[in-house]
Amino acid sequence: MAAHSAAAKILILDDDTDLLETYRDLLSCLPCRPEVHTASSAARAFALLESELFAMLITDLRMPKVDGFQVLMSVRQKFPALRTVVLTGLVDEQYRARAYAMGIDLYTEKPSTLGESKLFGQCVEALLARGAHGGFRGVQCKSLMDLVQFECLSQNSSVLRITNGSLEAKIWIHGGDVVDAAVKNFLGEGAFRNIFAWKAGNFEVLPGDPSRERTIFTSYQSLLLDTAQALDETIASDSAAPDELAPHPTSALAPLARMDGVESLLVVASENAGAFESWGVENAGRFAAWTHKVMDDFRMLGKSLETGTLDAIEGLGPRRHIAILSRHGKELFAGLDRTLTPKQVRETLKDLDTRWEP
Amino acid sequence: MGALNFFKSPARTPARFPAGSYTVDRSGGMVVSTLPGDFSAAHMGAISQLVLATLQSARELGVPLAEITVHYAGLQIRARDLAGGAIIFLTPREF
Repeated sequence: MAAHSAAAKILILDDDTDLLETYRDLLSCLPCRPEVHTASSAARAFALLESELFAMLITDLRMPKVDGFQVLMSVRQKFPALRTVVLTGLVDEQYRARAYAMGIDLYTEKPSTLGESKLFGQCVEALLARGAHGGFRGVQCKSLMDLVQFECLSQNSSVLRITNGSLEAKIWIHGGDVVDAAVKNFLGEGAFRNIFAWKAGNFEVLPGDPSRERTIFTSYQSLLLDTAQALDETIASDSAAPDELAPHPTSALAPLARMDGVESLLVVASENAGAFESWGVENAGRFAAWTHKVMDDFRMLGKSLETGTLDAIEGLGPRRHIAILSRHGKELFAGLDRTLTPKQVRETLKDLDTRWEP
Repeated sequence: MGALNFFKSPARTPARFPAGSYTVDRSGGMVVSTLPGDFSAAHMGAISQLVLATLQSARELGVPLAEITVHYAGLQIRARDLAGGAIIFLTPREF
């Protein structure tokens, strides 16, 4: 328990800010004392996920602009090791099945009584404990080796489809024998060994495909033994290698994105709209080009009017507010929460100006 | 002194900006203004043209803006969208 308690961070995504506070209070009191963060928009959630290592994402399904399924789809691609929980008011078996098919760990209704709240807390606690030990989703805490062994011992015919971020692999089992495997450009035994180098991911068991041509003739016991030995050797010789599944390295913009109300950030060079770094911005290229052009145009206007230097632009909008700062040949664009008041937007602009170190 | 004056740059009077507002329609045509009459119409046109273009491009980007404020060292331009046109406030600031 202690292993995960020190690092367990939970991110809750819901457009209802009152509920966010309630859940934060509820989960902060769990025995493992997780660090609970909240986000009222998908953009903010992704900004946080990219800046910090979270153990679990709890998301609502029904949200404006980006719904929970879209969030889960992106999370599966970008953060395959993240535990995911759907907490929703939508009582619908179709939604439930769809969410589980996307590899979530738990689908639960929003608790409405004290008892339900306690039960929800216990589920989260248990998932966090499992998260500390890794494993493939679908059969929690089991290794891929266990799964293959189970299928072969049962003399099943099935196809194991394993995903890890954008990677997809398949292992064909026919009558209890491993007959083929495929991942990227690898086929056969090479692919089989390659798949076992993955440390975590999602899997699903599909119906068998008897038409699959057999390329593996080694027994599954020998395959697993060889693979296990190869893995042990790799781990021993390469223990310091970077983890392929580790979350994105901390962005230099992360300290700014942790500010209240900041949902997305983008830095673009004043001289080159193509040179930009973004964080939590969809269509970053378009935003970079727009920011670059707007600042360039207003700078030209300032020159012709002799207004002095262009310091900043702020914008208030129904979907989001924005702030743009200029310094040392760089422009900083920030997307801000639309619920901020004009005064709060101005304060955030000042804070960004103080904290930004281009 | 005359020799020194020769090397000095010609004296320039810093630009002075009036405080006031004006309204333009969606094509940039002036509707009404509280700015003094000696403030250059060309300057007002340049400001309103850029403001309208910025509001339009923001809409196209999917980030519609109801209001923008541009902070220069010597001038603040605040513009509110008015159904495709804009009301523009100019506020001089001390350098």
